[in-house]
Amino acid sequence: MRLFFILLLIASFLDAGKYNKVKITSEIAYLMVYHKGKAVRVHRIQDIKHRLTGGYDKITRMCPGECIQPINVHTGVQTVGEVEVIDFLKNKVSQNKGLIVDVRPQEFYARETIPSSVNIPYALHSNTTVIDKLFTTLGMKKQDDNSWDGSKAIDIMFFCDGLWSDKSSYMIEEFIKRGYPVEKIKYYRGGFQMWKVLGFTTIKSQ
Amino acid sequence: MKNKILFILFFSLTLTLSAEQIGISKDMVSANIDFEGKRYVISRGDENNTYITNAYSLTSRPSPPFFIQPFQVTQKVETFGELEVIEFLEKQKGIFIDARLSNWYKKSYIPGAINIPFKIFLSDTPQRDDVLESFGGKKLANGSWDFRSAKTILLYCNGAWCGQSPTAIRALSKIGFPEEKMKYYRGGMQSWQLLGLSIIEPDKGDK
Repeated sequence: MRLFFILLLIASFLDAGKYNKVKITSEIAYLMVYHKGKAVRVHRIQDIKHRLTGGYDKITRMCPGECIQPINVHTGVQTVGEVEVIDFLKNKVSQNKGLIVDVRPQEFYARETIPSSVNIPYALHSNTTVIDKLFTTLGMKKQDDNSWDGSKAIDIMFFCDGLWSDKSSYMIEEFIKRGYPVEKIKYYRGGFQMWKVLGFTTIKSQ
Repeated sequence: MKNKILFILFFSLTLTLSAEQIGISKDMVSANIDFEGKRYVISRGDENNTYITNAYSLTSRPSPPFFIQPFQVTQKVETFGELEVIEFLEKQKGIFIDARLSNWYKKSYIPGAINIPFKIFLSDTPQRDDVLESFGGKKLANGSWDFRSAKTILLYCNGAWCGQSPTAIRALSKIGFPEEKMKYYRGGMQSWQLLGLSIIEPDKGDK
């Protein structure tokens, strides 16, 4: 019996160790999340020779259009990095207390995205029907005077292509304009490009 | 009429001949930085497609020592992005520090940055005293520091996975350097180059 436990311990240790070569933080090597109902292990690519390829290695981005974004999108909206995204996936999204939103166009989301994210293309930001429905899903309550009560709303995190993309800012400005509590909105500025740059697990279309 | 056609012809010709410059932000195409008596231009290059292929295209670095750094080093040390870095340099708001070891700095660095390897901040040495005095700090008789007239400093290293500048910031905070006077450019060399922003490469003849 004791031997069995020791073997089990060693086995789980070996499995956990599989992601120890390139960890996320000193404490976290991987985490489990759900993407469309399926469990996904999120970790970093363990091959230390692996290089970024496939589009997000492209430097040339045209501005006007793809201009570098400021570090802060709106006063009161917290900008976060990967460590905070991981914490958000683990402690908010997995507990249904938060939503992470990919605001890139649908075909980009379908091709490859961050595990456990949902897609609300930024082009829908001015569509009142979509935003109203979304607000209700997020726990916002419409008042008699048509304003929104955000006291029960969950946290929401937005990302887009990254440092040179303003897509998140459109959605964030719209959310604030319509009454979503500023302190419940987070902005992952690094976006999908930095997620790829750091070799994180992605969801790819089959 | 003829003149107008000629003008249009001339105009479209110049457009096709010169590859268009990529802007930094909506209001800025490039920035001029004055540093050690020389003028440097920070820009994002032109529209000819380039890709990241150097060491900064590597996704996975062994941990330890490389871990992804939190967005903020401490609550009061502000984290900067590229636009905030460029503004800091343009307006000469303080000292811009590349906190990497000197072999890294010798390869490439951001225009305007001086090299003060993070290790210098970790122990009480005459070398550290010199650096702190150059920031405007005053060493008191009891060995502690008065940083009331110190300049603002902005630190960076290789990027999101680099702990060198955060380590330097924490060490400075420990000896009383005001956190409001420290800024952290987390994106570092990697994000800077992913955006095509200008760097200085001494080995390639830049100086």
